[in-house]
Amino acid sequence: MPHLEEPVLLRAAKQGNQDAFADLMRLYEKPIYNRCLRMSRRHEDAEELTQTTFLKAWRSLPGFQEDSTFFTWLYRLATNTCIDFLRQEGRRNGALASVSLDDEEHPTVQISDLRPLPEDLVLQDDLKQTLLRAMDELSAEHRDILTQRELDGLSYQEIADLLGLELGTVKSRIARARLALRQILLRDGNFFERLSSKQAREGQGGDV
Amino acid sequence: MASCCDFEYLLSRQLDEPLSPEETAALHAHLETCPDCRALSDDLYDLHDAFTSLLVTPPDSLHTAILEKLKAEPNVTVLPVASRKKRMFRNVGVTAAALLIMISVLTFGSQNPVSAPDGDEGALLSHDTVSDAETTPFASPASEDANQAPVLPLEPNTESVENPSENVAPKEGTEKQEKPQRRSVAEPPPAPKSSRLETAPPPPAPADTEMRSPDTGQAQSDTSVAALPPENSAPYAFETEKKPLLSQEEAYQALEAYLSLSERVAPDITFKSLSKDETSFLFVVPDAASNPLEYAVSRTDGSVTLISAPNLPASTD
Repeated sequence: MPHLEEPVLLRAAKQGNQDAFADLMRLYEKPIYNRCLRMSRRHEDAEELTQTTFLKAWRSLPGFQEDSTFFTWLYRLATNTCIDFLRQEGRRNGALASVSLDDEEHPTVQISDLRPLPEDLVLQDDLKQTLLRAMDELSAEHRDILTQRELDGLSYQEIADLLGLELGTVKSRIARARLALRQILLRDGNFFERLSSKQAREGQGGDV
Repeated sequence: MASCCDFEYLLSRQLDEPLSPEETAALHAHLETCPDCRALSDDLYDLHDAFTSLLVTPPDSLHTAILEKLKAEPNVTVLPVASRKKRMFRNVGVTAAALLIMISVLTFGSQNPVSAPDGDEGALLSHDTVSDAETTPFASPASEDANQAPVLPLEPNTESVENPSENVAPKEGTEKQEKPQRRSVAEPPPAPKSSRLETAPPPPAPADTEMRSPDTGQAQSDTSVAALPPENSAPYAFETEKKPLLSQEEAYQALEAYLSLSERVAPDITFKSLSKDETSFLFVVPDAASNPLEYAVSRTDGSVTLISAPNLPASTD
């Protein structure tokens, strides 16, 4: 998700311009926050972790070599921050049941529990719950890559870099994951019809 | 004719990145004729949108809280010296070594008069990077008839060269290392291959080696700039080491040179520590009001960064 103004902001921020950094934060705080929320599963922790991530980013920005995109760099920073936090906290609520913390070198690759959101956040919304349940049914491989693409907002290239995959593999795996997810949702009922009617309602100025 | 499978792949991709005009045309043509793929296309778009609804918008207070904390962070400013040097360091492997070799030529020339052979060139050498890189029209007697002016004295740059070291009053009792005394000028680099410096035939070999200083044996000294014959850089056919990390003394010199140039006061520089990430040396220098300011000198490119740390305790040691 490249932003046109990002290179300019990045250069200024690297030279110590906090306003530029604040603008960079605006671009990325939402995906980073959601990333932290998925890993920590608690709003308070996610806020804390997002803060820590951006402070770390600010401090180490002058050393950022730009061998990856800024977002990838930030994403890794957030992931590592969360892993450190979770390690300290212990494996709370089973959130880390399938996360291997042993591989220091590739912690991001090892995060296989990317289940999108704490259940309590979406209890009130049946459609979201249906989608999450369907995500849970996906293979870990499909769930991970779809989460990185759809929820973390990583580009194909960024995912390829993070996972060490060929670009073509990323594209086709994402396509297959989407098809698999659709199959699950079709099998389980009228998800798409409900989704369409909901979107239609909202599209017709439903707010009023 | 492509199968639906191929289009499934395109239907997914179009959610993430623009397709080529050809792909778009082919896809649309297929969708005209294939109801299954039309349904799939609609569903994938819906799914894509549905994911958006799963994202949680962080509270505004988070943004402001982070900004608050940022303000409390030490204010880091990269001083102009950094970019200037970066540019120079593009060719540093060859250039710096060539410069230093020429410095050694110069230095020994004065002690140990070199009989300048034909084609020898006097080079005007300067210690400090910034002012000279910026303002000195390098007096490079590159033409052949300069060959009877083997070595120029340092007069034109004496002031900027000498100021930093002579006026330095380093804090005693700190972990500073030995202070440089006009080192970068008086001190030859390792310059192992100087004899192949084609445009400037070398000084006698003994001179080149006898003053070699082991502790600054890096082919890259940030603060040394010399006048090179213009357009003549290519023929320096010698090998240099891959950019070694700066030594503490070289970092010290870079900072010293920078400070004396920009502030025209004798810098009182105290080495503090290696930064936590080991990418730079940290020095403490009192400002005009005697408040300690921290400077970081990058070990990789010699760029000087001012870290003005308001909370830095007055005595840092």
